[in-house]
Amino acid sequence: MRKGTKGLLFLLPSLIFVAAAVGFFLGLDPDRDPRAIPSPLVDHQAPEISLPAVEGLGLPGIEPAMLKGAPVTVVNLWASWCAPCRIEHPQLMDLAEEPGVRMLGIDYRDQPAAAVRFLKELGNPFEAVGFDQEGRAGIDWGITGVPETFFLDSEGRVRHRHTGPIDADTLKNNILPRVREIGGLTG
Amino acid sequence: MIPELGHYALVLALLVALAQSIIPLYGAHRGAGRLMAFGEHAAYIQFLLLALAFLALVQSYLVSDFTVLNVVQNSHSLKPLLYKISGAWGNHEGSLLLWVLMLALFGGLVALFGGNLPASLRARVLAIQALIAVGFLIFMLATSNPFVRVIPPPLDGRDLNPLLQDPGLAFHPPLLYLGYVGFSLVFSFAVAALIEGRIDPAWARWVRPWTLVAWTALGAGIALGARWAYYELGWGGWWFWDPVENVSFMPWIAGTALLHCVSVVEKREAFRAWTVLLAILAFSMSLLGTFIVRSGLLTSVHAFAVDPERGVFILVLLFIAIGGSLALYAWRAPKLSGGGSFQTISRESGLLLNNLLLSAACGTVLVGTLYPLFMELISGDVVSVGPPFYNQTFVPLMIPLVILMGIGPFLPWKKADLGKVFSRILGAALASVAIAALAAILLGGGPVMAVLFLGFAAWLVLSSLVELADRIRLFRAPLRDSLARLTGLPRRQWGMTLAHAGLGIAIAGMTGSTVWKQEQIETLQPGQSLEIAGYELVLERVDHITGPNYQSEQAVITVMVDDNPIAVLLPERRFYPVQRMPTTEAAIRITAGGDLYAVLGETDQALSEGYLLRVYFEPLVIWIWVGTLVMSIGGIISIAARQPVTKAKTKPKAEPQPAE
Repeated sequence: MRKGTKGLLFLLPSLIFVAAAVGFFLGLDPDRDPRAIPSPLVDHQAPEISLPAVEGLGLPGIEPAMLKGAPVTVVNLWASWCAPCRIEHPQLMDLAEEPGVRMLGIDYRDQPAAAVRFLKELGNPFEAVGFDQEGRAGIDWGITGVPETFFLDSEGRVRHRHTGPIDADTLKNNILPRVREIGGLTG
Repeated sequence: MIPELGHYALVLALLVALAQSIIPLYGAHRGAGRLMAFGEHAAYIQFLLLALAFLALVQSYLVSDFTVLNVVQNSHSLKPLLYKISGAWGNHEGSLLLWVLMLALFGGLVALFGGNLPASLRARVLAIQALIAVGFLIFMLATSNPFVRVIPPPLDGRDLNPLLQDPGLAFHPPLLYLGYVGFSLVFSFAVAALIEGRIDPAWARWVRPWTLVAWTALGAGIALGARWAYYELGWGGWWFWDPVENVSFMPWIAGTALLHCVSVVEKREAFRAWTVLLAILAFSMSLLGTFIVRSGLLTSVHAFAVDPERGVFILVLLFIAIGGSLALYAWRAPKLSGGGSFQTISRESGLLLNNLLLSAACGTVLVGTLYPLFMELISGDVVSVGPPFYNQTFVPLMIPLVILMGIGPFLPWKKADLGKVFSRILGAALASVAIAALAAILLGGGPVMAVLFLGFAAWLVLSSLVELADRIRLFRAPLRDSLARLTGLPRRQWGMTLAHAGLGIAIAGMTGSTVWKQEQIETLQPGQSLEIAGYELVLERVDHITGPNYQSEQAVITVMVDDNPIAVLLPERRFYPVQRMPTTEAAIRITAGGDLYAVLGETDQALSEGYLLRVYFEPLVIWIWVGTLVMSIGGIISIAARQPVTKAKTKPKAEPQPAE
C-alpha cells in the first residue's frame, strides 16, 4: 500500500465520525419529534363516518356532514376503560374552550353506561359522540390505540394527528398552535 | 445543608479534575516526576469528592428531602426504601452523577494498582481520564445539577416511574455504567499510548484486565436489563432491538473484539493500530449510547426526558472526545503498524477473522440504529427498523462467528496444521450435528435456522469442553495427572472456556424462546380456563389489593397438568395513583424446559365482563440467564488472573523518569 492511501485509511474513522456528528446535530432540531407517526390520512379527506349516539348520554351521534364546516373539527377516539384517556380528559376540556373548535368524540368499543358515567364524572367536552361498538371507525381511521386525536380543517381534510394522550405541555406547545394554524386564527 | 455540600463537592471535583487533566500531562511531557505523581493524589481526591456528592444525593432521597427538585420529581414519601435508594440513579441527573463517580473510581483504581506502569503512561492515562470527567462535570453543573432546590417545597414527591420500581433497577444501571465507564479507562490507555507513540505487550497486559472488567460488567448489565424487560414489560420478550438496547450492545461487541485482539498484541505484537482503534471505538460507542439516551434523538422506551439543549451539549462533548481521539489516531497510528508475522492458518488469522465478523456485526447494529434518523434527515421519510432487519443481517453474521469460536481455541500461534485441528474437533462437530438432528425430530421439524442454532449451541459447549479435556490430557494421561492439570490451569483458560460455553448455553435459550414461543390471549370469567403447551390454567378469582404506593388487581390462577394442580400464578395489574400509570406484574413459573408466563390485561368491558388474560409459554428461556451468568463468571475469573510480572519495580515511584 502506498503511503498516501495508508494515511487516508487511518483518517477514515475520523471522516465517518464527522459525517455522523453532522447528522446528529441536524437531528437535534427541537421541532423534530421522533415519536411522530405520520398518518396516511394527513392532508386527505377524512373517512366518512356515521355513528349512532351513545345510549343515555343525551348527545347526538356523528353524521358525515359534521366533519366539515367548523374552522377546526377535533375528532377524539376514547373509551371509558382506557386509563390514559382519563389523563387526557382535562386537556380536551380546555381544547373545547378554544374559539372555532368543534369537538367530536368517538366512543371506542365501550359500554354505554360506563361511557355516560365517565363523562358525568370528568365533564363533557363534546358536541356529539358516536358510539363505535365494533371498532369500525377505528379501522377506517387507522388508529394505533386509544386515545387518538385527529384535527380537521373546514373542508374536512385531516391536517394533524396525535397518537396517545395529549398532556398539558403538548396541548400548550404543540396542539394549540396547530389548531390556530389550521383554523386560520392567530393569538 | 446536605444538598449544598453535595453541590460544593461537585464544583471542587471539577476543579480537581481540571488540575488532574493538565498537570500530569505537562509533567509527562517535561519528564517531571513530581508533576506526574500529582495525578495519583488528584485521582483519589476526585473520587472522594464525587463519592461525597453521590452520598449527599442518596441521603436526600433517604430522608425524602422535597426541597430538592430531583427528589420531588422522582421520589415519594411512601416509596419502599430500596426504591428510594435506587431512585437516586433512576433519573437523568442522578444517573449522570453515578456515571462520573464511576469515571473517578476507575481513575482511583489506576492510581492504586498502577504502581508498575511506566510513570509517564500512568500520568497520561490519569490525565485523559480526568479530561473526560471535566467534560461531564461541566455538563452536569451547567444543565443537569441534581442538587437544585425548589422553593416552596411541595408536600410530597411525584414518585418514580412505576416501571422502574423494581429490584432489577437497583443493579441494572450501576452494572451497565460500570461497563460503559470501564471502557473509558481503556480509551484513556489508548489515547495515552497514541501520545507516547508506543504500544507494546506491557501496554496490552495492562489494558486486558480493564477491558475484561468493562466487558463483564456491561454483559451482566445487558443481561439484567433483558431479564427486567422480560418480567416487567409484560410482553414476554427479552430483547426488542430498541435503540437504547442497541447502544448498550454495540460497546459490548466492540469490547469483545478488543478483548480478543489485545491478546494478539500481548503475545505477538501484531494488530497494534487496530487494537487502539477498537479501544477508542468501544468507548465512543458508550458515549454514543449516553448521547442517544439523553438527547431524545431516537424514539425508545428507555429514553430519559427529551431535552435538545442537553443533546447539543453532549454532542459537543462527543465531538471533542471521539473526534479528538480519532484525529489523534489518524496522526499517530500509522507508525504503529507491523508486528509478528503469521501464516494464513493460525490463531492470529483466526482472531483477525473474529474481529472482522464482530466489527461487521457491530456496524450492522449501528446502521440499524441510526438508519431511521438519517433516512428522515435525507428524505423526510419516517421508517422504523425492527427485528426483521436484524434477523436478516446480524443473525447470519453470527453463523460463521459461532463456528469459528469452536475452532479458534485449538489453533496455535503463528502456524496451525488444519488437518490436526480438524481431527481434534471432529467428535464435537459430529455430536453437535446429532444433537441438532435429535432436536429437529423431537420438536417435529421447526424452522431450519432454529435447528441450526440449537446445533451451534451444542457445538460451542462441546468444543469448549473438548478443548478443556485436551488441555488437561483427559483419558490420555492418568486421571490423577489430569486432575492436577485441571486445578493448575491458568485462570485465563477457565475464563475463555466458561465464556464460550456460556454463550452456547445462552444461544440455546435465545433460540428456544424465540422460535417455539406459544401465546394465548383469552377473556375469562372466574372459573373458566384456557390451555397452553399442555397446561390448563384456571382463573379462580381476581382480588383487589392495596400496596404501599399502588392499588392492584391480582388474579389467582391455578395451573393444572392432567387435572392435578401443580402451581398457582398471581399476575397483577397495578395502578400507581401518583404517576397515574398502570403497570402489569407478570407471574412466571420457571422450569428448565420453559417458563409459563401469565399477564392480567386490561379489563375489556366491550367484549364481556371477563378478564383479559395473556399467557405465554417460553421454552428454554431460563438458559439465557444461566448462559450469561456463566459468561460473567468466566469474565470475573479471568479478571482475577495473575498478570505475568512485566517489570520489576526497580525505581521508587517519585523518582523522575527520563523523557523520551
